[in-house]
Amino acid sequence: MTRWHVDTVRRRSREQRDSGQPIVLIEKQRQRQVVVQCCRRAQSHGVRSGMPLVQATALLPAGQGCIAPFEPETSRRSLHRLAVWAQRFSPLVAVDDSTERPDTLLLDVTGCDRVWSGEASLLHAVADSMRLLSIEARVTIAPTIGCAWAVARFGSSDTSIVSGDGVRTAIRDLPLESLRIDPEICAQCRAIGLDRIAHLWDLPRSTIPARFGEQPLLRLDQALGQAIEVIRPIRPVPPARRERTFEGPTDRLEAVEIILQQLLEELCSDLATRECGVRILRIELVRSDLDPLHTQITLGRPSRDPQHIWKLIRPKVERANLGFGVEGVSVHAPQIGRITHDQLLHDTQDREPDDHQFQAMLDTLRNHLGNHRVVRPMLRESYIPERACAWVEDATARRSEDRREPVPRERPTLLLPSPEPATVLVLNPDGPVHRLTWRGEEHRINSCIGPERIEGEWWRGHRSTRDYFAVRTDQGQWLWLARAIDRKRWFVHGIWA
Amino acid sequence: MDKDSAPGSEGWRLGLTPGLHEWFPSKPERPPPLTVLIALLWQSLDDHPGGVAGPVLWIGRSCWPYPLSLVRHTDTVADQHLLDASVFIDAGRSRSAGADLVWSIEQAARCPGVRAVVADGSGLTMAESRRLQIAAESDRQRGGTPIQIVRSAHERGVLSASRSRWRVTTEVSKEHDDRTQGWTVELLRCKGMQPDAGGARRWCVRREHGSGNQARWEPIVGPASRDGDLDDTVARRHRPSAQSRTA
Repeated sequence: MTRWHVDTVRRRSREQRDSGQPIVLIEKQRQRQVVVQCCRRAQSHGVRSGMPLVQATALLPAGQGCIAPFEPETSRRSLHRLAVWAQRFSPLVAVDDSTERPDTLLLDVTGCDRVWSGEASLLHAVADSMRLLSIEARVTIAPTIGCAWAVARFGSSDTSIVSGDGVRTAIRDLPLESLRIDPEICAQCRAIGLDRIAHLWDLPRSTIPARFGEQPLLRLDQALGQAIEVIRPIRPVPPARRERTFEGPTDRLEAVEIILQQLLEELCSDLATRECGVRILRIELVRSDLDPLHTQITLGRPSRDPQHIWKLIRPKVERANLGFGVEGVSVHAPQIGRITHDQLLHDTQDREPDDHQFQAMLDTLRNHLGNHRVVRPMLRESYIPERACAWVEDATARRSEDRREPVPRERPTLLLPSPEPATVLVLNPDGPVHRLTWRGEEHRINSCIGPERIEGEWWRGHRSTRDYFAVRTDQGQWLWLARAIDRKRWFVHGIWA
Repeated sequence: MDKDSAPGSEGWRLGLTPGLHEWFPSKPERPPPLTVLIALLWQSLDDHPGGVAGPVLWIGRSCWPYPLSLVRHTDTVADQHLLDASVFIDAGRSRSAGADLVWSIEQAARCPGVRAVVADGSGLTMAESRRLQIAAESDRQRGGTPIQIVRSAHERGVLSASRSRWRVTTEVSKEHDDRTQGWTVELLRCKGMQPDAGGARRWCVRREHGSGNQARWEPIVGPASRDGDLDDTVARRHRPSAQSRTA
């Protein structure tokens, strides 16, 4: 991938993708910020890798350009994910870590070309997929890793195929860097006039190690296929999935239930070895005359208790239409979460057995009422009443103490679902409220405390500034009254009920 | 509280005992008495300092409080125990959702470790209230769960199997620029207590505006209001038989 790190940043944020602004990735090197990689647009403005940031910003048009820090760890993780994805082309995929900032995938496609009816179509399939993912990539199929690496990086075409006997001609005119030789050694070679790979193999072999070490010869031999180089494929994690096919279709619910329970137990013991639990569980019933039936449950916290999961999924299975019969059943956990080992669970003091039962009860409510109906409040960093609190469905989400700003001291116990307009009589513009007409009733105001001014959050496009008053009506009711400054309108926003 | 004994100055603690407690606002259009309920829940948390704060469930959207009002402020700290213990459940609004609502309350009440349940109980029938009362007392080891049911004022004549009934009235004050907020809490009915038993039956929850949810309970000396007596007569007249009362 020629611009993998930039592509990672672009793919991560939708804003970046849509705005089409030039992206420049920077890194701190020796107390100054240096460009690591830039996108094609930035390059067209003259930005190059290794350039100081100051120079790069001067080259970019004013007000344009997204400058992001280079995050090697994120980049590496994304590359690993891409490697997992690339297993659709070949079972053996490796991440090339010979360079400082890995951006290359190695695929062993021996024998895979038959599946794709020829190497050429395999090559185009890979190249097209990368284009669809909007990743800039150069793809090469070659007999050796070294040759493929060299041609992909320094070859003239974006896609190329090197045949078995064409290795020498393919890499003859490429620079020495294409052999994955250290830059210092390349510089030494260049000092004595060795620019291209052909120059290296013209020299007597015995003289090279004495001057430049073992590396150039090893890399050359690897590229030419005379030394062994193996790829270390990533190990795919098998999905948490169990399935069973019946001998013939069955319309007996009991049989389906028994098999489902068995599969659940197997899945849970699988997950126990991974120290994980189910977050989302999907069940598929393959029916003989109808489309497969999918049922899904979501758990607030990961669990691998087959009885608990079965209790949640059973009502859904009981309601299922089995048609003329079920031919197969599969249980799949598309989302799993990490949980500590059972032994540790009993050891820790902070986890009460009650909590376990409480979470199980919440899961039951969630699956009956819907996920969005069982929520926890989480305070947010905002003073705007309707924004100050978020509802989170996830039971494992962080709690409210992360709010850095102090929590406002006085808030009504009931916030009206939408502010209700009111007519207000004030004697002088900033003075206390005297009379209030709300919900068709007129109230005299005895006490009026305020105003508390809450500014709109202009950085979110919310510009309205409000003044809040706590007022007591002659009936003794305390209301939270607000005045929208710009629209000069009053409304009741809350009640101390 | 023992049977047939009169409530004292701390009689409002009856609301913290396991069982079904019904809360009525004074007028039909008034919102549920959330400030009083929050003060009651804080008391329940304060009674077990350092203990495990069991979760508090708010069931039914109409009785969800504004979460920021669940934070109590002292001079230096914002105490978020009640907020962190709270789980909000929306059991639906439509008439058909009534079954879901009762089912959710029952599930919550039967779950061990739940500290309290506050639920919207409008339209609750006698049979449903009996079911909930049994669920609330089902955990014999720990005594059970208090369920606070919020009902609308015009349902006061509807019979129920609840342990106690309360009415909350906002205090009317003629004073100007008074920062005190007050609610009168009146015990209308309590299982096992004679309507004419003596002792305090009215208390007052007071808080200063700006105090950061620091509320205090005070007994009110004096006869119960006329309306409160009336309610007892209504309930007595509708009691079907002596058997169902003792059941």
